[in-house]
Amino acid sequence: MTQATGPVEQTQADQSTVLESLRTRLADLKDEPGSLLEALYIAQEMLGYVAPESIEIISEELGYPEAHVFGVVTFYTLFYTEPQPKHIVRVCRDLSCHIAGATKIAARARQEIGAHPGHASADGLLKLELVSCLGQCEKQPALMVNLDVHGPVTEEEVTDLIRSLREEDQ
Amino acid sequence: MCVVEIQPGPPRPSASCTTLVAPGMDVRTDTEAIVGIRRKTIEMLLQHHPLDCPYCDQSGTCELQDETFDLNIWKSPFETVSKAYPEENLNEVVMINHNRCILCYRCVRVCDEQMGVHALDVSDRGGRSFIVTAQHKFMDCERCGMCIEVCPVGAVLSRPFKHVARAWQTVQADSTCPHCSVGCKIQVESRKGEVLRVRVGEPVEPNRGIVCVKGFFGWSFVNDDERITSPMIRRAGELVEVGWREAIEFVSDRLTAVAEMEGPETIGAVGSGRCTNEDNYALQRLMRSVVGTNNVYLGPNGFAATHQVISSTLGSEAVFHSQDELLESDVVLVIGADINGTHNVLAAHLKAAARKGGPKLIAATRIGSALDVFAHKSVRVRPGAESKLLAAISGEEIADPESSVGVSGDDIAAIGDALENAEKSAIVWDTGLWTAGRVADIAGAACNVALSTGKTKLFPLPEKGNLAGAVEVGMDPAALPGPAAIDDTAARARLGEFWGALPPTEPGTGLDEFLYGGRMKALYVMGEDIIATAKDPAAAKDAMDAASLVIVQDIFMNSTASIADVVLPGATFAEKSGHFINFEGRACPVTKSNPTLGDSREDWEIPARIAAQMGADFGYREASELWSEINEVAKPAELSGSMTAVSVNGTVPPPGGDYPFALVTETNLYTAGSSARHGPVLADLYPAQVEINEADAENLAIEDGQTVEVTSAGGAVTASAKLSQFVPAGVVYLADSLPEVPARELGRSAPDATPVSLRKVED
Repeated sequence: MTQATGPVEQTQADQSTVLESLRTRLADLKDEPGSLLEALYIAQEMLGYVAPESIEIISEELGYPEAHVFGVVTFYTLFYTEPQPKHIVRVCRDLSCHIAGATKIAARARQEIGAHPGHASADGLLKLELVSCLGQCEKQPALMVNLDVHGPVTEEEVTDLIRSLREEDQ
Repeated sequence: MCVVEIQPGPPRPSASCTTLVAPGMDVRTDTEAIVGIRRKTIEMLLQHHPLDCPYCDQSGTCELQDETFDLNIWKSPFETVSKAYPEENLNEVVMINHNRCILCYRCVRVCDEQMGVHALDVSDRGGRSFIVTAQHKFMDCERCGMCIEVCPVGAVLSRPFKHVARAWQTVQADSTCPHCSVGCKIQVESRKGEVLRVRVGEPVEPNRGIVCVKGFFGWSFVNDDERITSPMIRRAGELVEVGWREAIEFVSDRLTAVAEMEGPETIGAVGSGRCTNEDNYALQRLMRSVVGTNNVYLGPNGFAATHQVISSTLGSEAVFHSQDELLESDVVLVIGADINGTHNVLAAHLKAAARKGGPKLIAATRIGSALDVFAHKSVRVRPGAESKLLAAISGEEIADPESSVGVSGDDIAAIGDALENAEKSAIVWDTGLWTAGRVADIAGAACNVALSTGKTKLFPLPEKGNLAGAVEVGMDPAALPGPAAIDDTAARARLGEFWGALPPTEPGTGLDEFLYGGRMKALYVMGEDIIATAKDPAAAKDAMDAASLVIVQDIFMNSTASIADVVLPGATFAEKSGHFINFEGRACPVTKSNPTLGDSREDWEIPARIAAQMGADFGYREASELWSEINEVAKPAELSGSMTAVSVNGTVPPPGGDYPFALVTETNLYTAGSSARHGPVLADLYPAQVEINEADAENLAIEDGQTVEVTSAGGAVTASAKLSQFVPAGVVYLADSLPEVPARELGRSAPDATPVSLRKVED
């Protein structure tokens, strides 16, 4: 599954239209137990992050207490409560990948993106995150570009991946 | 902390809190290994937990402190990482200190699982977790304080109790919350005669370890400056403070004189659903055995009539059932008032049970509420049509149900089927505020449902803490303690034995006839504002002016006290011992934890002293002696009930024409008579306001906070408007007993479901 984490900029008018259509899309999930994660995926897919208003809408439409929705959003590191760059590169730093040279992979990614982990690149397109196990220990060192897993990767492949992401958006 | 060793079992410590007990299990709780694990856990908690115990409110009742002490831990061997987040107010009453939080999640769970509110949750995960409100916003919850109560450390804190006292400086007394008829067990904590806070203490019936905002924060009236603290006699138009001896002699002389000159039937007394059984019993004994009249009353209320209708129809056994029976029902129909507001803890238990797959909850309330979220079905009954809806549910054909009762024919049929098909079912309603005729109608219609299904139990919820008890001890001109009929020979014999005098053989006159019939010469009112609640206050006041003696015994001045000849200071729940009877018929002990304020007295003492002055010494030295006597004499007469359908009268017609809205007046979470309006917290949590539907507000161009005028054929009140998602279109909601917005001004004879109009007042 390829999921762009979201457009870089969005006007206020766009956002309110998106929020209204979120309401419509949630209609199918009503009265369906355990639908919260799916609703959050939809919300994040639509705006690139789970906006405060999205949390309120999900709470209202699906009947989950707002505190609960907020607790779930903040629990999962793949959900964001603030606007994000379009592409997020997540490099695994856990044991298996570490042994296979994840430190170098991360360093290369940082160099290509041109920003410290957790910070958006100057063009606002990219962000590097150092994350815990991606469940790809047999493909170490592994990383994710948005929701796509890559591994094992070499430093050169990191450079290619990031450059191709930039080119897509030229 | 819950680790134990189990044999036979896994070769490692087990968590006792998630392991089911099995036969033959050998559980070790204090082996060296287990204590070692526990010690490490505490040591790790102390890595982050600040040792700011001298500054912390929880010190002395802190579970972490106790464990550290018990395990003899001097300091954490780990490098300590102190956090320094500032304390944060979550709302008017709750604050949080994240540094002390050990992330046990008790606050989150009690809020969600027990109260059904879920205003708190945990953000992030692992070491970065915090207890948070929804998106860090102001916590707009029910303010029950349970998050404070369950916090094992000083993380979730009470703002009103912040730095008020050290835990070891207070004395605790188990008592009963005075506000509603759930009768929650509470623990009153005081220091030097001043109530400082209320906690819950051990979980027992009926509240099972929880309370609501009124229980937790609604006690400040006890210490209020406006309390009456001395007896007063009116001299030259002014109430003047006097000593007790003088006041008692005055009352006794005047009562004797009126009884001799005008006859005892010109004397009457009004008791109170806010006073204990002992208080009411002493007052009616004074009237019946010393003055010689059966004219003993309760102020306007719905429970007495409800009790009468149910016991005469289904039998006296059908009035009270236990909370267990309610929670074990398959279907529970809540009709009329929002019991989440009127009887919150019972509603919380119902919500929790419904969520755990217990009863199917059907909410047929007049306004929307927190019940709806947990309800299998929720509908809005038209205010004034509650009995009609019940009639329709029991099978009566009604034309155009949508407009006559506000509920569709399909929904009515579905509710009827649910009750019919349930093995065990229940109907719950607050008996408050509905005018006498309608109260009887609703009770009758509920009886008819019970008769038609044959398995529906009724749970009428008295609107005041001890109305059930006041009825039981005979605050009724037509019933002796029990309640038993005036001519019940066994009851009379029992009373005669204890009293040495018999009550009059003729029932007293009805309250209205007594008040307005022109023969009243003396009136003794205890714990009730009979003018404010009268259907014709001007006439009631005239009658009192014409009478030779008006005695008011109360904790606060009120409109009746302000015209009384004698004012006698009574006591609050914290200052007297006795019993309340809750909605289950359960006797709930009230314990004196504080000395009576100033020169006030426990209420039962006052009629007893008057009686002694009049030559009849009751001989009570303490309230427990009255309770023993009540248990000997007040044996309910066993009525079998007619078991025939009750005829139910019409409904209040739908509003229309000049008055297109229906007024709903109900007690809510923050209101409970005058006691909730005295002292801080409750009064601050619910300002005087009128709640209206959002769409109605838009049509009338009314914005939140603007001043509006509510007008009926009988009068008008103004207040600021609050737009509410819970108020249905066509309804205007006023909380009961807001002195600033007296709903009764709008419909004296029928303060509920009154047709009103609404308009914006230009400032």
